[in-house]
Parts: sequence; structure tokens; C-alpha cells
Amino acid sequence: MIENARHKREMRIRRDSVIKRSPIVMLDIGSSKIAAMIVQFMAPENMEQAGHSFRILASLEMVSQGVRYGEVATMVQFQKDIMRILQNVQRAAGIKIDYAAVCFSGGRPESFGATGEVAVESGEVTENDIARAMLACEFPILPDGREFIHALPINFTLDHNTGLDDPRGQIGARLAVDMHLLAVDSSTVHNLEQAIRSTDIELVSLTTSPFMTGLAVLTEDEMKRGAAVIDFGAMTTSVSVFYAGQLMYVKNIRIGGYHVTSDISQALGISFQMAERLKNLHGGVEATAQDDRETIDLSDGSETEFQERRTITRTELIGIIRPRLEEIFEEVLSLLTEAGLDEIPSQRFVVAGGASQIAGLEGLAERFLRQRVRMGRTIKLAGASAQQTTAGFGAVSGLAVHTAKPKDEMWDFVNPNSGRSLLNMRSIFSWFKENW
Amino acid sequence: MLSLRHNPHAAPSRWQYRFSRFLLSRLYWVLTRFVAPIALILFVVFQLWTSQGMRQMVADTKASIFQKIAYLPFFVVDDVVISNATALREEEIMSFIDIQAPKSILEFDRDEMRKNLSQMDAVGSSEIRYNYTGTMEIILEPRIPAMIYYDGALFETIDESGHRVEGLADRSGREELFVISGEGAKDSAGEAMRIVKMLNPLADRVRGLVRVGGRRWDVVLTNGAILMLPAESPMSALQLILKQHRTNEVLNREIQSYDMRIPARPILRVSPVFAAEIETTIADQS
Repeated sequence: MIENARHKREMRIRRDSVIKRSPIVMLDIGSSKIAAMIVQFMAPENMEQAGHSFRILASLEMVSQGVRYGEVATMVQFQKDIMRILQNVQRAAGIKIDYAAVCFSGGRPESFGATGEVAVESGEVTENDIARAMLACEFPILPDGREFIHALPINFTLDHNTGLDDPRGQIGARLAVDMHLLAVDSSTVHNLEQAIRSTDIELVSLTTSPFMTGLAVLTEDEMKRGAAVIDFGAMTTSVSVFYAGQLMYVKNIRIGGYHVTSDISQALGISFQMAERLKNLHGGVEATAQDDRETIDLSDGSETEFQERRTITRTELIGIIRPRLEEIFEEVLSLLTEAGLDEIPSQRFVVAGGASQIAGLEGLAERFLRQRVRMGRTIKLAGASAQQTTAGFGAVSGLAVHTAKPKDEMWDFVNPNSGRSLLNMRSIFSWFKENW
Repeated sequence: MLSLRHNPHAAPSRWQYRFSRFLLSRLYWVLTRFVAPIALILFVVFQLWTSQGMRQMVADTKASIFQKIAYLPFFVVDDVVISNATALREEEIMSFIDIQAPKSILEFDRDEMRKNLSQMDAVGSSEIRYNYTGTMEIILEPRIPAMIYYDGALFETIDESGHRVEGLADRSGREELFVISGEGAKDSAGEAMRIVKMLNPLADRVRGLVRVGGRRWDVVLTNGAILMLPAESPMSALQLILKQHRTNEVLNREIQSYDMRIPARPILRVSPVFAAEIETTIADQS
């Protein structure tokens, strides 16, 4: 935990030092595409004037071939993909970028809760008290090959006062902290770090994309009163739950838009590309009487003139797509129940991600979730073009928002090196006391 | 899902990627925008500078352009008028003006001409005018003789500043000018001029001034009397002499010299006859 915290703290310090002077490239590593966005952050004093905290210099989406289920599957191919998109996005922006913030959807994220309580040392809560409270948490023992990617304080309790965002400076006797710990596969993290390092770019942030998508698509109000974001990716569908302005839960299932396409391809005996095109052009979830009459041409130019032209009705296509989506929703629903999110008072659902663009998806979602469902659109992106607010750019936009104003993490308070420096300070003081 | 199955750009190799980043770097920007152009310009200039043919060509072009401009009609001088000059001097001046054919005004070195003119003894100052109609006018201001300098053998007239005007065979014809002589007399001609001006009521009695030891003046009067002036402030000493003259008519007496070399101790030397006369007068009175 401490070793990991040191590494995370280094990244955070790097982020703090470079954010004002150089633009940072945001990367969302997905299974079907990589999205990149070069963002110039503004100094806080200019932020007031401009009304937003960053400016988008360039953005780009490119196909991702080395990633499966949000994890690096083929390192060589992934390095090629990442170099290609970095080269092109840097060219588009016309500047050399040296720092990247990265989010990814894979690595089997798993949420843990932990609570720690300590007595406040001086009556007034200091960062040191918060750090001690955090260290007092009972951290779950992770199996080998897993590590924490986030350790977010989600709630502070000072004496009997709960629901505090930031207890610093308040007067109290006992401080308790509730933490949300998010664990992922170490190999996923290390592979990504390795690939990014090979492009001569330094990481300033590494996080998980469901969290970022949530930051991009949820309104402040939704985030406070509680909302769940369902991020339909190509190979993973992630659920993230926000409440009281904090991330509460992240989990994903390894089914996504890719599987819908693959179903179409198998069922109709057509190529993957063709199936993808059908899904995008004609895909849907609710069959109506009109769909029985609407026929879709399946010819791909390879048939001879004697062969019969193959056509299907839209109803048939919907019949292939729908079961897979229902499966996804059932899984999502079981995830939400398992996480015990019935307790959250407001249950807004927001559907986001590339695969959420299938026509009529929100209708199906409403039926399954028995709640009103909203299509997620990136809302916190001042000055973005229409293309930059599409579903595919949700996670990178959230990443920009997050990099501009990161959520507090455990490693912001707990300094792995502080033990030694504290000792030094103490020895200096005692030396003064003894000699004067 | 997005229709991103096509692959618009081939993936770069590691070195291609690094090169593309180098092209975007600040260093490359500075190299291409500043270092390279400046180096190129310097190189070209250096090459041209060192090549003989190019320098020759530049010189020729410069000359031909100058010729074209210089021989525009209004620059061409075809007549020279000299005013305030005697015929002899005119010949002399024309000899170094060197104008056989019409010549451009731009080709005349006026400073050089003025220098040459000023080296002529009789010419005080000169002005060269050109009116852009083909006539160049040289206006001479003749040097005015103020006194005569005698170096023991030859006479010459000099102006107030001590500059030679012309040589004289003897003093005849120039009796109105006084004579100065002695070592360094020419250099202190101005002071001599002032002394003579101060002696103005007696100017016709001044034969000449002699510079003694290159530092002080003796004024020689027509009756042979010598007024010895000090090196320091000779004018005030002279004033004292004149004062004496006004009250006692000292200079009308038979004096040999009036020594004011030390103004606090004036010495009057009289002729032996006059001295005897004075002694008799004193004896009579006693």
C-alpha cells in the first residue's frame, strides 16, 4: 500500500508542477478505440475570467487493435496504436506533448469500503489527523497481482457530525473517515505504464474510465443526490455510482458492443465490418410494424449475379441485437443489487459510452431498471466542438475535468516519506530545547 | 459503436514517432525559424564577399549607376566662374580645378578644392557654389595684409593671424603697415596687432615690433626709442607707458628705452645728452 502510495504521490506532484506550464494529453484506452485530447489548463486566476478551466487544443479518436476488454492484449500492437494516435494528435495540435493522463476501463475494478477513526491531536483537524485516520483504516488484503488505483475519502465524521467533505480546520475530538478503495489488476496498470513510457511521455494520472465518464456526463446535482452511470464500451460495460459528490462504486462486466456486432456477424454469416455497419445504420431495440416491411440489403459486392440477393428485415436485426442487450442489462441490474445501491435515495441512471448510441437503448434501459434513464452527453466541456461531446469522448472529457481539479486521494494526505522528515523536525526541535 | 474500423494512418515506428515529436519541439522551431535562415544568409554573404568576380561586378555596377546619376543634365558643370581673384590667381586656380571637358558636380571633391584654395597664401576663405544650371562659382575672400614680417633678409606681408599673404622686395609701397620681426613673431601676430591698436595715437611713430626670445615684445619707435613690454600682460604695461606719455610726454623726450619688463620696476633710459641736461637742471635747482 505504501509503495503504491509513493508512486501515486509522485504522479500527483508531477501533475501539480506541470499543469500550469504545459499542455497534457488525455488518453482513454478503450477496446475498440483510443480517444486522445490535448488540453491546456489555465492558471486559477485566468480560470475566473475565462469561465472554464481548460482549453482543448486537439482531439482525435483512433482504432485500438492491441486492447481487449480494456486491457492490453498485444503489447506490440498496443504500442503501435498509442504511438499512432499520439503522433497524430500532437501534429493536430502542432505542439510536442510530454505528459499524459490516462484512463482505462479494464483490469476488473473492484470497490472496497473502509473506515478509520482516530482522536484529533490538537483539537483542530489538520492534514496530519486526516492522514492518521486514513492509515487507521482496515485495508482489505488484496491477492497478488491486484493493487489500489484509487483511495478516495468519501465521507468524514467529526464527533457526531457526519457528511463532511473537508474537515480541515474544524474543531472536534474524534475524526472518522470512510474510504472508497478501488482495486484493479496490477498487470493492466503496469502494461499501460510500460507502453506510455515507450512513447517518451510521462504519466501524470492513471485512473479508471467509468469514474471519468461519470465526471463528464453527470450534473453536479445528480452527483450529489445520487446517480449511476452505465458506460457501454466495446467489450466492457461499466457501472459507476456517485453519491454526495463522491464516487461510491465501480464494477464492470465483460460484455459490450463488440459482442452485439459479433452476434450479428455470426447470425447472418457476414463479415465483422458489415455487421458493424448494419448495427450502426439499422440497429435498434424495439421492433414496430414498420420494421417488418423495412428490408436491409446484405450484399457486400462479392455475390455473383446468379445468386439471390440476401435481404433481412429490420425486425430480424433487432431480434439479434436485443437479447444481447437484455443480457447486459440483467448483469448490470444484478451488479447494482449486489452493491446495495437501493439505499441511495435518488436513482438517476445515465447511459453513456460508444455502444449507447444504438437507437432506442434508453427505452430498454428504462424497462429493465424501472427508472427514468437519461442519455449521457458530455456537459462539462466549455468550447468543445459537437464532435468532442459525442459518446466516444465522454471519458477523455471527464479525465480533463478530473486533471483540472483532482478529487482528494489518500496519497494527498499520507506522505510515505513523512515519517523520516517528521523525525528530523523533532530532532531539530529537541536539539534547540536542550541547547538553549 | 463507432465506425472506426478503417485505419487512416499507418502506425509509425519508434524512430518515426520520435522524429515527428522532434519536428514539433521548441528546439526544432528555433532551428528552422532563426538559426537556419541566419546561418544561410551569413553563408551566402560570406561566399559573395570572398569571390573576386562578384566584388568586381558590384564595383562596376556601383560605378555605372553613379555615372548615370552624375551626368544628369543639371549635375554637369561646363563653366567655372571665379570672383574676387586677380588674373594670375585665376590661372593658378584653374590649373588644379582640372576641367577640360564638362564634368559632374558630384565628381568634384569640394573639400579638397577648398583645402587647395586655402593653401594659397593670398586666399583667406573660399566658397564653392553650384546653381544646378552648369555654372560653378568659386567665391574667394582675399587675405588682407595687416603687417609686414621681416625675417632679417626678406619682407613679406602677413594677415592678422600671422599667415603669409605675399612676399615683398622691400618696404616701399607698403609704408602704412608696421613691421614685426624676431623669433616667433608670426605666431603672436595677433598680440602685435592689439599692441599697435592700443598705441593708435602714436601709430605713425611705430617703426616696428620685435619679438624677443619668442616670449615678449619690444616696440621700436621712429626716434629709436624702445618700449620693452613684459611677457605677462603686455597691454597693461603699455597702458602705464601711455599714461606716463599723456601726463609727462615721456615719449617725446630723448629717451633710449622704456623698460617695463618688470612692470613694478619701470626703468627709463635717456640719451647721455639729455642725462647731462637733467643733471645740470638738478644742480641748478639745488
